[in-house]
Amino acid sequence: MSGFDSDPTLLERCRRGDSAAWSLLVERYRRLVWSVILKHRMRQEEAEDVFQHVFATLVQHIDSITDDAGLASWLVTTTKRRCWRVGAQRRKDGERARSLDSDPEKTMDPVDEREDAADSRALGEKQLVRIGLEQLGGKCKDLLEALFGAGAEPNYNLIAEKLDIRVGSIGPTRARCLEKLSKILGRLGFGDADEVGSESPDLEAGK
Amino acid sequence: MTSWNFNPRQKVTIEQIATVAAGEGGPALEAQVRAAASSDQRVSEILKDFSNAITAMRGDAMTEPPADVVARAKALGVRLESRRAESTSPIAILGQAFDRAGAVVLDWLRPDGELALAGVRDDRGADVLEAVIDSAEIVIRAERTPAQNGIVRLVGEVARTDDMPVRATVALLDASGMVIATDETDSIGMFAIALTSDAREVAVSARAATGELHPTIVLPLGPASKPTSKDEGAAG
Repeated sequence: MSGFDSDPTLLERCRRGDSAAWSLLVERYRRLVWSVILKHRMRQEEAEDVFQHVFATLVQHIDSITDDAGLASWLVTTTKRRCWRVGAQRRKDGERARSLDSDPEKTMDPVDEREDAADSRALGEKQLVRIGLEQLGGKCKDLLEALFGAGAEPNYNLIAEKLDIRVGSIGPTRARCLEKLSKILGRLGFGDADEVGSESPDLEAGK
Repeated sequence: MTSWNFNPRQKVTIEQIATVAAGEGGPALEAQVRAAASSDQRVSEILKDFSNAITAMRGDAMTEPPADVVARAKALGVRLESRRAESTSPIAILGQAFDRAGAVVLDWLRPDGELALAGVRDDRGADVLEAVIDSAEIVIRAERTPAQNGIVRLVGEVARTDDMPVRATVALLDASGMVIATDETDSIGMFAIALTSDAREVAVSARAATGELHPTIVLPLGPASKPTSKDEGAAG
C-alpha cells in the first residue's frame, strides 16, 4: 500500500502553506466536485468556473473548516450552492433578456436542486472507492483504473503493455487487487457510506 | 490461478468471482458463481463487494474534469505558499525586533537621481524619494506627508519597474530595531503609515507574483539623531 495522507493531515499541511498537499487534495476530490457539477447540467465554461470557485473558496476558508473529516461534505455542499447560484443567475439573465416576468420563484427551478438520498449515497460511495484506490496505490490501482475507470471496454494487450505485465497475469492480478480494495473499502465503511453534502456549513455565506 | 475454494462442492475461485463481477466469463461461469453465491454467504459477500466496487469505478469514468481545469485548481496552492510567506514575514509582528538577516540596506534617491543622504526626514522632505532594487526590479517611492491633524505620514508605493503594483509589508523600525508600525500595500501598491518621532528606518518586504518574498529592504528615515522639531508630537 502506498503512503496515504488522510484529509485532516492534508488540510493541516495546506494550512502550513504546503502546495504539494494542496495538489493532492485537488487530485483526491476533483472527480467528486466535477460529478456534482455535471448533475447540475452546467455549460462547459460555467462548469469550469464553478470548479475553480469551489477550490478557491476552500483556499480562502481553509482555516474555517472545523471538521476536517467532513471535507467531502463541505465540497459537495459548496459545489451545489455555487451551481445553484450560477444557474439562478443565468435563468434570471435569460428572463430579463426576454423581458418576461422575473418572479424569483420561477428562477429557482427546484427540481434541478433536489438531490435525492440515492444520488448523495452514490456520490459518497464513489468517493470512498476513489480514496480506496488511492490507499491501494501502486500497480493494483493502475490496473483497476485501467480496467474499470477508462469508460471503455478494456484492451488487455494495451493494458499489459502499459503496466509492463503479461496479459495472462491480468486476471489473477485483478482478483488479488479487487480483494485488497474490498478490504480497504470495508475499513472505510463502503456500503455504509453516508450521504455527502447533506449537512455542511455554508462558508461562502459567511464571507 | 488462485486455488481458493470457498465451498468444496462448488470449487469457485476468487478469480472466477472477479471475472463474473467484471461481467466477463460467459453464462456458464456466471451460473456457477451465482450458484456458489446462493449456497455460500462468503462467496455472496465477495461477489457483492467486487460488483459494487467495479460499478462505482465504471460509473466514475465520465467524471474526470478537463486536465487544464484541474491544473488551474492546483495552481491555487500558490496562495497557500504566500500564506506561509506572510506567516514567516520577518517584519510582520509589531513590538518584536526586526530580523536583519538577509535584509538589504539601501539609500533613497532624489528625483534627479542624486543620493538623498539624510533620507525622508531631511529638510527637502517634500520630495518624493525613490529606492530601486535592481535584482527584484522593484521601485519604492515615498514622501513625508504632514496631515491637518498634525500626524506626519510616510506615504508611498511599491511597484515593479513596469509600474505594476506589488504586494508588500511596510514596517517602521525604531532606533533599537523594534517594529513600531506596519502597513500592507493596497491593490494599487500604495501604503500610508504614521511616521512617529521614534521611527528611524523603514523596512519593506515585497512579494513576487508567485508569493515568494524578495529580500527585505531597509531604508533610512533620516539621521539617527533626534527628529526635526516639526516631527515632535507627531501621533503614532
